[in-house]
Amino acid sequence: MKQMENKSWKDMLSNHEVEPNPDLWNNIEGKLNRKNTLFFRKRYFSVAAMLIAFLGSGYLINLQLSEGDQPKVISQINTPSSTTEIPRIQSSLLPSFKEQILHSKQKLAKIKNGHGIQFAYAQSTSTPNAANIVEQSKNAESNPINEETVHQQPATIANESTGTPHQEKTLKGFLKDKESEEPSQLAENPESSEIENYWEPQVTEKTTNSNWIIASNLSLPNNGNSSNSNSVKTSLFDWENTDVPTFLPEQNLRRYTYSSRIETEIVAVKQIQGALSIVTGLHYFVENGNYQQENRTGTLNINELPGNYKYEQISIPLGLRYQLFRKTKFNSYIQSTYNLSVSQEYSNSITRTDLSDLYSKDHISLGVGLEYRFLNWIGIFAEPSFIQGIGKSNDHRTSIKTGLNIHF
Amino acid sequence: MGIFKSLDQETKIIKGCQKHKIAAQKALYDQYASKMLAICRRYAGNLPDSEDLLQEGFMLVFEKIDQYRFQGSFEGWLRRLFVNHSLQFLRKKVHMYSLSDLHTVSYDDFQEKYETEDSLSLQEILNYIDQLPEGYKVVFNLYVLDGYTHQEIAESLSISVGTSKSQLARAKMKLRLLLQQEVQKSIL
Repeated sequence: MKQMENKSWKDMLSNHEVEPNPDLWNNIEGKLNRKNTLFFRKRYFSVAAMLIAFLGSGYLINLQLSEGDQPKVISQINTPSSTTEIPRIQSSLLPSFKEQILHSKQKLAKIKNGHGIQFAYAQSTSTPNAANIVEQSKNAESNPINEETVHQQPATIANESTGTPHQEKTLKGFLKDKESEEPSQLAENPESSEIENYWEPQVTEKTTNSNWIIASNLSLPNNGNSSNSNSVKTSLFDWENTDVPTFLPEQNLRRYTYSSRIETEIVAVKQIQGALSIVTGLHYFVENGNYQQENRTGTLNINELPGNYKYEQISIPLGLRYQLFRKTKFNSYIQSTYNLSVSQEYSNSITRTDLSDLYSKDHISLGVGLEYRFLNWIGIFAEPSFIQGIGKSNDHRTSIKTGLNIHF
Repeated sequence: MGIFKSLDQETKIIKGCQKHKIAAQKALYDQYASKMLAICRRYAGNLPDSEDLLQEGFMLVFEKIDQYRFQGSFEGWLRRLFVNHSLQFLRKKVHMYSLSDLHTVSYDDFQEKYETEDSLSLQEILNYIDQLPEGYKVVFNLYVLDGYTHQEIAESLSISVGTSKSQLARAKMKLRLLLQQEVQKSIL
């Protein structure tokens, strides 16, 4: 019998090896090739399908949100009047309106001849017909009418100016325009007075108010309070202390309506203790839209200058994440971050002060996320978040971040 | 230094397998096939069945290698997987665990040392183990050679701990008998 050299038979058996048939590997390789091909197809298709599904669903969700939250913007429109009061007033005003034009021409001539502005104003207000107009306008519950524009606008300009050549030109141009357009239309075709310019709350036509979420922590905000329709007063002139009781404050308003917003973020999450992790990274926010500028002089002189704008912000999120639960492939967490602004860029067509009224530099956000790891190293997540600007209570928005988590 | 290198190499191979790289899978097979075939051989009792078990076992390894978390010995993980796979094979092959006919024997009666371990070749020991009835052989392999506890054996084979102990005792007794017969033959 053969002696076993210095080894127990247990060790010998445990380390025993049997050389396999070389063909065995060929069989295994054949099976593996088929299986690996299927594996790679499955992996790429599933990743692609997940991406499409998430981007698609994010887009749809945001479409729904934006449809349900159409901004209401006050806009000037031409609408046939349904009331009989306004035409009646206009008809009654027609003779006096013509007289008013004549007075205005006389005023212009006087200004040219060196008379003071105050005198022109006095002439204007002392006209009995003009006083009637103002009185009727006050009594009327309906919206202001065009004739008032002609009456009030020269006075407004006269009151605030000191009679410089520029102001004279403006006043002259204004009267010329009014004479050549509105009065002639009213005089020649009284029926056309049924179509009036006035202000009323009006839901604007649906714009491209869709929010994009492109993944990898990419989110598409949502119901922004401060920027669906933002009004910014760029100047305010208070007339309350003047002796002109019929004039309203002069205002320049800008209303911002965004057409698209994209928010993307790359963050790194590092577990520090138990369920607690720190979060940091880079956050990019871009908003495109348009604005309308309205210059109000008194109640009537209104200009709308639609323009486009672009607002970009880069910030660094710093925060904490707490894992709420983890079950097989799912895990849920709550996350709070402070977004420290690194840079804010505004397009040239808007002024920095406008948007600084709208958006805070720094923000805090609070979100609850759910992640599904469909592969060992990759997971998808959705994280509804609430974002609040620091120092501006009306700068807040909600956002559904969706994206990919890569674990390594 | 060499150990670290080989560990590093093994980690690379495992990670390659997790990414379904065929070269890594071949390397893993080359490294462990002969050891795993020996394990399958002990349980299956013959080479053709062992080779089938090896093929299926490696397919299973490549499928489940994602679950290996680099905690503990990879070879240990691999051995356990092959042992379990062999047990499944045996379950299908023979209903050897209808052990109701076995009466429980006190394990303490059989706590004796083997006196034959220095006088047998590996192949002879394997032959003797192969001669054991399936139930005895499996428990003997699991307990003595693969280091399972009676509790683990009981759970793996869906039997009681007492049955596992008695199976082991009978396996030892049977082996002793076989060895005594062999000794007597050699004397004569």
